[in-house]
Amino acid sequence: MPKRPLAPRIINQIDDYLLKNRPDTWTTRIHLMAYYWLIFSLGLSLLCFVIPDNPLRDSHVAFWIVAQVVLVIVAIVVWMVYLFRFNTFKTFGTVYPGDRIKTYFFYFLSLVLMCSTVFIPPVIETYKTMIRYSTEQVVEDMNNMNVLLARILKEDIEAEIVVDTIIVVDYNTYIPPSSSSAYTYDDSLGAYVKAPIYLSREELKWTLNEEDSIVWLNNNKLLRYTTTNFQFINDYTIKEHSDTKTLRNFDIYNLVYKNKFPEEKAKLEREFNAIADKYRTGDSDDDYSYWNNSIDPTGALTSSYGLWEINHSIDNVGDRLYRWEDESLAISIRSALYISLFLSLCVFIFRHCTVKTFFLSILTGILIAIISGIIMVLLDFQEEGVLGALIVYFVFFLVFALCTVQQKVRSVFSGIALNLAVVMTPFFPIICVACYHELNHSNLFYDPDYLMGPGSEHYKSTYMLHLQIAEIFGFIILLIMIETVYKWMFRKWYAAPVE
Amino acid sequence: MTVTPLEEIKSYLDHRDFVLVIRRLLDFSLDTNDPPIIRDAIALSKAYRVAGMFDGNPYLHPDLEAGTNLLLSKLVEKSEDKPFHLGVLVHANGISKRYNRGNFSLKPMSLDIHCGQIIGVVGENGNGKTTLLRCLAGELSTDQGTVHYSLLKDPDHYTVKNHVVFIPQRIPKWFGQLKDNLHFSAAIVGITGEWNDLLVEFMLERFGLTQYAHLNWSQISSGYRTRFEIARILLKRPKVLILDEPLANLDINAQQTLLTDLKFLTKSSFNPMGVILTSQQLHEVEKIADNVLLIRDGHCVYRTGDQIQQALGFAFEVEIGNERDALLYALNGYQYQMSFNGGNYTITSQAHEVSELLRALVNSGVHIRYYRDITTSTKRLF
Repeated sequence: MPKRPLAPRIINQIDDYLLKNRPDTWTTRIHLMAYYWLIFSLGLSLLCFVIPDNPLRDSHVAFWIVAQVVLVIVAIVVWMVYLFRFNTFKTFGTVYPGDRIKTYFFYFLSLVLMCSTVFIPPVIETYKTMIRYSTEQVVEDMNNMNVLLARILKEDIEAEIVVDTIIVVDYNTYIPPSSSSAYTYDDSLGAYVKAPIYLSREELKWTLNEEDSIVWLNNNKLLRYTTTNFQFINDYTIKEHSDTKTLRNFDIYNLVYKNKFPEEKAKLEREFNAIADKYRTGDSDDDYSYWNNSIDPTGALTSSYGLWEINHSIDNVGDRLYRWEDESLAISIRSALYISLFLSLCVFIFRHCTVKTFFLSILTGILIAIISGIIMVLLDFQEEGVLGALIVYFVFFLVFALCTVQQKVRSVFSGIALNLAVVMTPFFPIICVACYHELNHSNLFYDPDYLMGPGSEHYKSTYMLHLQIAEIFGFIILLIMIETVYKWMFRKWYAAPVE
Repeated sequence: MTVTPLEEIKSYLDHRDFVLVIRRLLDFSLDTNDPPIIRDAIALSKAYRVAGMFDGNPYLHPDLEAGTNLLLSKLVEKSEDKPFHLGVLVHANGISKRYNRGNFSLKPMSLDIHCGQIIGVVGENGNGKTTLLRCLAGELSTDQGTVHYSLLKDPDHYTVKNHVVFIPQRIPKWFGQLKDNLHFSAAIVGITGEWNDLLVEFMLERFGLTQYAHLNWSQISSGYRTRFEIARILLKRPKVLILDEPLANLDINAQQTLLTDLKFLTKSSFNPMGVILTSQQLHEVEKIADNVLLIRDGHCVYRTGDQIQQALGFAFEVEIGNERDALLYALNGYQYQMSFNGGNYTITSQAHEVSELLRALVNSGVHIRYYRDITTSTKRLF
């Protein structure tokens, strides 16, 4: 009978070798974890790949992720059950240099591997979408469909060019007059004119991206020329990531309305449908009743050509292709890493202290958080106050543990302080960086000129860079502390006699 | 008169004590520290078991006999006269302990644990036996006094707990297969590779655990758990072994086996050690212990020696198949005191030796069912 299910002989041989030669590594079960992770990931990838999934439809990845999270929790519990069976440290085995750092790293790696499986369904979904649709192809189709529709509806739509006055304002310092009317009275002209549009600098950037005809009157005022919106099929995500130029309203206007010849509507509709069929799911437009399009307020156009359905499909494609773009990827990876980091720290301290001290440490941490929170709210602490308090806590826990760990008797208070110091260690540099920036630069966040100016972006990127360095530095400090100070402290504390 | 290992084993062989033959062969093979010899001894032990030699089979197959003699000859070749150092391993000086809660306190006590020595600690429940052991093991802090571990230079508590191993009365539950636990215990103290395999196989065979190697905690009896625990601890090669009531879960035969094993293993040249154990089985402990302490109300009231005999005279317990009058008639004319606890008569005398009184009973035709000389036993102090 095989010792472990689904495990080939090589895994059992590795297991046997580690048990008899590297017991500390063996107890982490990293070899089994890596193997079962590989098997599971391959199986899950295959399953996600073979299960039919139309990229045009709404993604079901949220359900996969929920199921996956449940499985990960089960996997972590099973891993811990096996992990807690053997303990080199608590059985007073020989601790060699590098053992603690290696052991902790394997805990962390095991948890990262488990958490990483959550990403498999969305990654496979993105991959399957990439196989069927490319961004350039979709943009090209969008351009073609928009031109074809404009040509089809040439006689039905009366194209016009509209001029708007845009005033750039800072909402922090200026509140624009609210007016429900599209026209306003101009004192200088002594007549009613079209009401200006008030935009912030940020909003203006979007406008400039969309429009091609702008005339600046001064630093804060400009004229914007817009034509009829021909973006029947439109998706910002796809357009943003495409190298192929999206046809703007003026481009379509020039292409369609400068040609005075009558169009062959039936032929154009056939051409349109040939492209549109690639994005039709067969769902009725009723499913997209929430869809609102200013081009077609009555809905007549969108329902007759199924534009809601097409737009929705392209939107789904865009979501699937670019769900990893921008900050979402960093947030996802950070979430997995920080969950792994926290759990691995809990596992590490559990493996180095008594069960009672471990749970008392958790209780103490929760109580300190609650009491500190109440005090901070009552005393109206600002961000720097909260961050400062965290620094004080860390220093206190570390110093207290250092002072008491060598006592003749093992004290539960000393153990709690040591555990809390260990858990706070990787976050200490991040807290310090955040506190430094709060103390030195927080005033800048209230300076509108600074926020509007180029220094703001530079500062934000510098701040983020400092935080990223602090994150990496925090992890390195943790590993160094584990191998040096914490190893020594746990050794002193755990082996000491009790009262 | 000193008996050499060879003579000892030959004596067992002549008397067909095959279990002892194999146990001693295994012990002596381990002392050689020579892997081929240890492997031979393990193989021979397995062959004995297969042949049913441990189950009362009186006929030793010629092949087995030849194998035994061959191994014996190898052992003779390899045997060296290693001087056995009976130095002090633990020196406890005036240690005392008072618990914060409760009235009990262990009064200042001093003792030495020597290498190759077994110390038995006896006493009624709740009198401080376990407290004493836990203080010696560094598990409990002491209020006064010092515990000095002679072989360790300026040790921290972690090193002490590697050096001194404490086995509590309730053996902590372990997980996984018995064999894996043994491999793990050996590996964490640096016994790796082939030595790990060999020593684990040796311990399994030595403690009769080979057939249970793939079982887990819930699949073996408490007696085997004790055996396992001792095998596991011995793999860590501690210098001092502290056992709290190790006989509590064992049947009579298992108690005897364990105590004999301890007696043999403490003097093993592979890992000579000192042992201190507590037990309620006075007679069994007294048989193997080099020194016995009796603890009462936290005080050490007695240490093995002649104090009892000098103070209280000779004594023995006896159970007879006759009425009390027969006993009184037989001892008529002798100076003695007698007490009866409902089962046995305890007879003490300052004037007559035990053999003299016993002879009087036999000559008078008293039917003696049970007899034990308790002249130097702590039993008299209970």
